[in-house]
Amino acid sequence: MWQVVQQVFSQAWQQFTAQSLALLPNVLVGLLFLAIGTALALLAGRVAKFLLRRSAVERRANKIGLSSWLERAGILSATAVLVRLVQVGFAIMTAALVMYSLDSALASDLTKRFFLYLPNLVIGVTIFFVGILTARVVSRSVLIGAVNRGFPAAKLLASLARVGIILLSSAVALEHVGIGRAIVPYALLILLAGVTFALALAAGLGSRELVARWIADQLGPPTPADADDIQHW
Amino acid sequence: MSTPEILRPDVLARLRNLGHADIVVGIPSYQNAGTIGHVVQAAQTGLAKYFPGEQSVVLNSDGGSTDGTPDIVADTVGPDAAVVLVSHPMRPIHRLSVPYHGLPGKGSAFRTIFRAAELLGAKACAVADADLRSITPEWIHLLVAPVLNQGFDYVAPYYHRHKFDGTITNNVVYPVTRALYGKQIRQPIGGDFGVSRALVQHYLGLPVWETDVARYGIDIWMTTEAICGDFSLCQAFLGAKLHDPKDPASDLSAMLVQVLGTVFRLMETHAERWHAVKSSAPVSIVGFRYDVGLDPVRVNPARMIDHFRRGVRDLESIWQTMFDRADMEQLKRAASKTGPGFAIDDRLWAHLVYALAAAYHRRVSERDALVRSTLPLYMGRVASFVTEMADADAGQVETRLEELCAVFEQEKDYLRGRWSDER
Repeated sequence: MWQVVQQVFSQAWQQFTAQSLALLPNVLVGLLFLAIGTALALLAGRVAKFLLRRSAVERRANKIGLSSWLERAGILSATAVLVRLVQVGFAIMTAALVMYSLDSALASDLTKRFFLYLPNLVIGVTIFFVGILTARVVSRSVLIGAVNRGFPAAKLLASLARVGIILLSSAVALEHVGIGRAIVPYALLILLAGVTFALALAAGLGSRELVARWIADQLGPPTPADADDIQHW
Repeated sequence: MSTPEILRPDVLARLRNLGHADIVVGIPSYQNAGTIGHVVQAAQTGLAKYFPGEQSVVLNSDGGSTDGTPDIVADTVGPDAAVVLVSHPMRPIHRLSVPYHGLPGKGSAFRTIFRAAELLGAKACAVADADLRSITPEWIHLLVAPVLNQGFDYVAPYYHRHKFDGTITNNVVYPVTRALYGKQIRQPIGGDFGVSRALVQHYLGLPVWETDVARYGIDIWMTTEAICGDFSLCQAFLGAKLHDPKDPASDLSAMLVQVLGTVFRLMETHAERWHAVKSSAPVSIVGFRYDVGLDPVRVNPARMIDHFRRGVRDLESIWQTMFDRADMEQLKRAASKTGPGFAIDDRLWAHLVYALAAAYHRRVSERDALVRSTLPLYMGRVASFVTEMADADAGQVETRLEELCAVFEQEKDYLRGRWSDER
């Protein structure tokens, strides 16, 4: 009995060591690729940063109005985005090389799948990004407009607008990526409910003054203190 | 380089028939049926009375009014007016009614008027708003004579206004323009002015006529370009400025975007110029100065303060991208005060305006949104000014505005620093 156990253990160990030794060069090459890839990504980032600064990309982006679009999406530096894109490119290449060094068949399969899936991913990310950008712009406009029109719950209204748009864009993005296909109808329902709630709130809070003014009109003409007629310019 | 003709063929033909004019008086109009008759009459009488030896043309550039404005112009200069004018057979006064095309707005009207003046070879051109109720024939004399007789290129208006009227002029445009460009032009966005032939040609040659500057900020653009082009300037004392009441539906934040947006864009165009200016100099005033009665103005500072407080409460996230932390703290302290204690002091106000200009320049966020977000600040400043000046007379208010302008000039280094801040 003990001999059988010993034999099984010995065979397992031999197989493990043999396979490990067979795989070791691949792992070492993979690690080497990883180290070189990481170093190259960092170096490329620095070189890109240097070149972009020298070519005054920030100023050019400012000039053509790109900066203001990026700012609306919360990106304060065009240079930082481009540097990050270069680094992500190197990271993807490094990951592919590491996978190929470990198992070329698996890597080939994964790469093929990745490239087949890529268009959906790109569209999904784009939709989400545009949604975030739109949400920021709309939310800020709603906030400023509501404050300037004397709406008491301006922040709430702006938040509702932002959440509604992000929810909708996230649902559409997920749909494109192929995750949660049932989310879109639910998101639309939630959005509709949100809009209805916001409108009800706006009507309720916003019409307070209207009602007050109507009552005041019924009681008599507005007193001079109710209005001003400054000519501002 | 030849540029496309902006005038319609029939207008060109009419101008060719007229041949030449020494003086062109332009009246841009849009839905001014209630006042334009008076303005045209004042212009015609002023030309006949004060410039009998000059060939003159009154040009109404209408923006497509549907309330009968052009018809009223036609009726005003009908048989009766012709008789008056024909009494000076060698000095006919002509009238053209030109619906201007291109961008709808005052800028397009001005371009039409200037182009007509150029074609007619006018030595002087004056422009008066069509909504004026207080214009007299003397205004035409005061706007044109300095150009014709004294060699000035730009005659800016100088009015008596109610102490609480023209708040954006008093609290922003005048102090900023004066501090930036060093010329004390009291009404840089007044709608009435006189210009020389040289300045007309200078204006027509600048590439702004298809831009937002022409669409929204033509008045401040004209003043700024006259200063920065080193043309000789003066101001004409015109008395009271009374015009049709404002449209109650007009959007104040849109107005702020238009006026301040133009001021800030011009700051970018003339950055080198204003960086070098260290102080300001008075600009001479022509015309006899006298006190006039003015329409009362109702003011409700409490509502403005409420607006300001809502801004401090809800717009902090936007404001802190533009303003210093210390200034934000001051705003919060101001918002917590009530009654007569409420104040936005001159230094804080100058910092806010300059920081807004720099943020606009550096595009820390969408430009128009930045300006719109500052409407509560503007309302707070107006409330502060109104409260402080409640019992002051016109002279005291002017003295107070001088102090404000001095602060804007003193704080200009703050603007220089913010302007060149790299992100």
